[in-house]
Amino acid sequence: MTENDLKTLIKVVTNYFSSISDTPAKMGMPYIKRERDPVYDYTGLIGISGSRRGGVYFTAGKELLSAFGECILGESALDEDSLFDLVGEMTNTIAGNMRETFGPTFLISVPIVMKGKIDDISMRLKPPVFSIPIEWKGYPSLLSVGLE
Amino acid sequence: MERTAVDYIWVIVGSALVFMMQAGFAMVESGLTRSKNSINVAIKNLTDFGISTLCFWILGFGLMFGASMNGIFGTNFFLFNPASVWPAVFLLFQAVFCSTSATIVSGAVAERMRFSSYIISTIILSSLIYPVFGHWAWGGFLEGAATGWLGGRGFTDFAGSTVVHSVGGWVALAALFIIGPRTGRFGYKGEVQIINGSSIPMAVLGVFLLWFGWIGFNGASTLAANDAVPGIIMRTMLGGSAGMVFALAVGWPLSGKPEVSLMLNGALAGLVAVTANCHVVSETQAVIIGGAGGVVMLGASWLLVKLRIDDAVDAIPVHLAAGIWGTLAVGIFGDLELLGTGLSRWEQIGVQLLGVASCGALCLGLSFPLLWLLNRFIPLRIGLHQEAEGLNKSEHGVTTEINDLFTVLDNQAKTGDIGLRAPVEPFTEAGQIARMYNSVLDKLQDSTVEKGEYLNILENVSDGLFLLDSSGKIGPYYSASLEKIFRRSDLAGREIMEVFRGFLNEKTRTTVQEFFDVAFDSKIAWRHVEKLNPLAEVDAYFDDHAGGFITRCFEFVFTRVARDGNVERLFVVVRDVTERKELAEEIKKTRNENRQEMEMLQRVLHVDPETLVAFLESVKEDSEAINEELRSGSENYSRRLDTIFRHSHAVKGDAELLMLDFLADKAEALEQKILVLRRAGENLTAEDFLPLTISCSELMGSIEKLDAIITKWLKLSDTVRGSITRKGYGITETLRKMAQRLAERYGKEVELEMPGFDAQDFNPDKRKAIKDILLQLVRNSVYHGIEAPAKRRGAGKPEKGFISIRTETGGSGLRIIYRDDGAGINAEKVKKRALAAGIISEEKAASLSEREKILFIFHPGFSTAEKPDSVAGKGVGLSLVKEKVKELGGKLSLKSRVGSYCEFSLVFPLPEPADEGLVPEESA
Repeated sequence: MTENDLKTLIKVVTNYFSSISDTPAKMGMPYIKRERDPVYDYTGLIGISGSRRGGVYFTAGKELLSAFGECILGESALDEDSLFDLVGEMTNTIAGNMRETFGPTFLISVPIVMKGKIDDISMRLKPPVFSIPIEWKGYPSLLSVGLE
Repeated sequence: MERTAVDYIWVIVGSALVFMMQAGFAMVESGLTRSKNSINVAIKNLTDFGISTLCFWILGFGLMFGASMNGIFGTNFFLFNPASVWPAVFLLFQAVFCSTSATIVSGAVAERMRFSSYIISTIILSSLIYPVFGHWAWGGFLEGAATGWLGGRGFTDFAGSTVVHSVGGWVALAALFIIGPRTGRFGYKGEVQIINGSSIPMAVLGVFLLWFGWIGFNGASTLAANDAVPGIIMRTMLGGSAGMVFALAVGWPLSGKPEVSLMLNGALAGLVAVTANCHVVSETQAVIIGGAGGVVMLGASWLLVKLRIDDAVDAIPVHLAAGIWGTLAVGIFGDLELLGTGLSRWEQIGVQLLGVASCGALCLGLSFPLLWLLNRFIPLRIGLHQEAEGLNKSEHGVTTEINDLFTVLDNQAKTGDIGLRAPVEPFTEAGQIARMYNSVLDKLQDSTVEKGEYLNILENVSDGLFLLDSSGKIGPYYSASLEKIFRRSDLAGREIMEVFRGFLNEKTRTTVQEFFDVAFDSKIAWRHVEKLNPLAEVDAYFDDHAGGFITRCFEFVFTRVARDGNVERLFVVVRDVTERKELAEEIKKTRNENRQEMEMLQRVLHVDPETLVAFLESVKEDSEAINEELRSGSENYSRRLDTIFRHSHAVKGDAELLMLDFLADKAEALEQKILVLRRAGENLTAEDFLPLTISCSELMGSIEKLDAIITKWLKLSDTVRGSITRKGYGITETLRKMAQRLAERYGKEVELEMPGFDAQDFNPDKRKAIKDILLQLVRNSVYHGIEAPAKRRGAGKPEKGFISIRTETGGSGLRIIYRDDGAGINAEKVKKRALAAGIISEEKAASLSEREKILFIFHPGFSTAEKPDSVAGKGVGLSLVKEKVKELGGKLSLKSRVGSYCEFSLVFPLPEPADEGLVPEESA
């Protein structure tokens, strides 16, 4: 995993937030993922293969998603299904942007969305896994990436 | 009237001719119906002759020519036994007439009337209907005087336009009302389906025979070989000819083509029309009557279709319609003198009309209720299935060869069994067709068997095989394995690039498309193209729909399939070589790992296992601390950098201590990146820390690898020399070795002694900090304090520098006294460096006390080193000492004399009692 790969990935995510709202997302200090790392209420997972193998996941809490939903849907009170769909939509867009950004040698999987605590999520990523906290409107979220 | 032998002979000959008309009817009706019914139609003609002859002899003749009951029917001559020549001849002649009338019905109802019902209808006609009406018109003719009520009124029907033909026609009409049209003749929306006959030549021959028979039919109706006969025969011929020509002349323009039926039925209609009147009209009139008969037939035929009445051979237009016309023509054209009825023209026409009407009334009045009743018990019509199968088979169990052929074809169409063969009847047209058909089938079966063999191969081969056409589409046949390999079905006709989109990345697909372009270009030699194959070994990535990919490795082999020099297709073989590749990679990886492990092992072999264990615990703790600092460290980035630096420095120190350069280098790389960030000052962002995080991951990776190899090694050591417990710190030995190694590096000599130092005096959780402190102090002494041997010699000191570390326990706590006999701390030099580094201003420097100057050595980033290297010069060591002491809640004091010594005194609070299970200090 190169510095450039990480930078590009972070940019894909933060740009996505900027494109949706006026408030930019703020990147936190990157670190090596450890077992005790947080997984928030909803998690979208994207597999990567091709010239690099591994995966990326984005995990966020209800509060962030509700605020995000308000930005793009104009509704703040979203039910569970809508939140689920929203994470799916976000992960899809991020995956799509990754496809464009990382070029033709990368294969980006159809993302899947999970809810609650996920035990085997690190299994899908290839170590070392880097975690980058992303804060938006004061709500925390986490982007984790592990590529060979 | 006296009759001569010539008269007898003529009437007998006439009878024979009329008898032959049965053959004519059989041929016309068989020829105009479909071959599946032709036998049934023909046999009905034969059967009705036999039955009608018997019935007529038993009952009919008596009813017709017996002594009249009020002109209604005859009352004797049943089972007639002629006593003389003439009655015998007369019976013969009338019997064949009766049969003629009966056989007319068979044509109209052909192709759907049940055989048994037909026999009964023939019995009704020949025993009852025909004789009764015959009595009305011709009763008394045996004796010479009319006794029937109609004949008595002057009704004239010379040879039976009404008596014979119309009677047959009326009964046929009644039967058609009941049995309905043939299946498919009229559609639901009123469309009319033409049902063609099976053999028009045979029908033509039948018409010839009928026409020929008509010579006897009309010619012998004089019942004498007199002068009138030739004229009658001549007018019969003219009438038939005119009927044919007029029907053609009118029908051709209407239908747009000279339909066969126009000629066949036109001639017959002309003959029927002239039958009633040929003895009393001129030749010209015969032509008019015959011609009009043909036209009347056409009109009646059109009307029947309009009324949805299906007459299979147009028997009703020919025999009923033309018969009515001919009967009326007697009144219209007949020579009244010759007629000799004594009636005027209109009276004659009137009585002819009466005859026609009464005939219709009698025939329909009797036949319809009788047939309707019969239908209640024995259905007149056969079932749909039998009708479709054909009456030959369903009624008589016989088939024609063409029907057999049809049956085989039909069966094959339904079952798809190409093993069936058509029966080959020698010397028949159908037999010839069947033979050719069978030989085509033989060829087809051969090729199908071959295809079956190929399909078997495709079904079972483990490779993916398919043909690719020049438009990039997969051919219709491919091996079953291909679907497993490509993980999708229904590949036939699919574009290969669309299939590839599912598992090849975009870059590979682009290359593949370019390869296909040249592969199909016959101008480029295959040996060149072959080398370009981008799929010779390619990784395929299938989305597992669970957020990941299934990776397989495929090997594609392409071969050109050319015809006439043009590349039409590519034959493609695909193999899944994942296991082979994984095995090769595994071997390579294992080999590589083994090599790396061996190298690493060589590097750590000089260190005893206990030290290594201790070392690993220490560096792991530090590296985790770095990551923890990254994750949730101080809000102040500069402070965060300092902390990370200290831990990294500790790792480096530890690694150097054990001469594990590869690890020290990683820590050094991390430190270099920290220095870069430090230079950036206060404007740091989280993104700037990315390189640090990556360096940290590399450091952690190296530590993990080392951990793995040491664990493995320890296991091995366990086996070889017994259990080695992971024992605690060997601080004394560790520091001594490091001091010696550093001294060697800088060309110095050092001796380190630790009299009375006992690590057990400290809490286990503090021992690492104590070790880190001492490590930094030793590094500081060897680099900065202890002078080179020559310098020491010049200063009157022993060449070998001396470092001592001891502990004392007193009321203030646990004290560590660290002392070296080096150059001491030069306060002025420290001040100058602080000025140069911009830590203090000139004014401030001027006002500093000696103590204050010296304290700069604990400032983060401060160093007096001239040439910074991995050991010193970054200003971390003493800063780390200060921080650690603070962390442990201790106090630090310093004494120094320039050129003599430097002494650090560290006082820590007294430890709580140590846990029982703690490992003893010093095992080395």
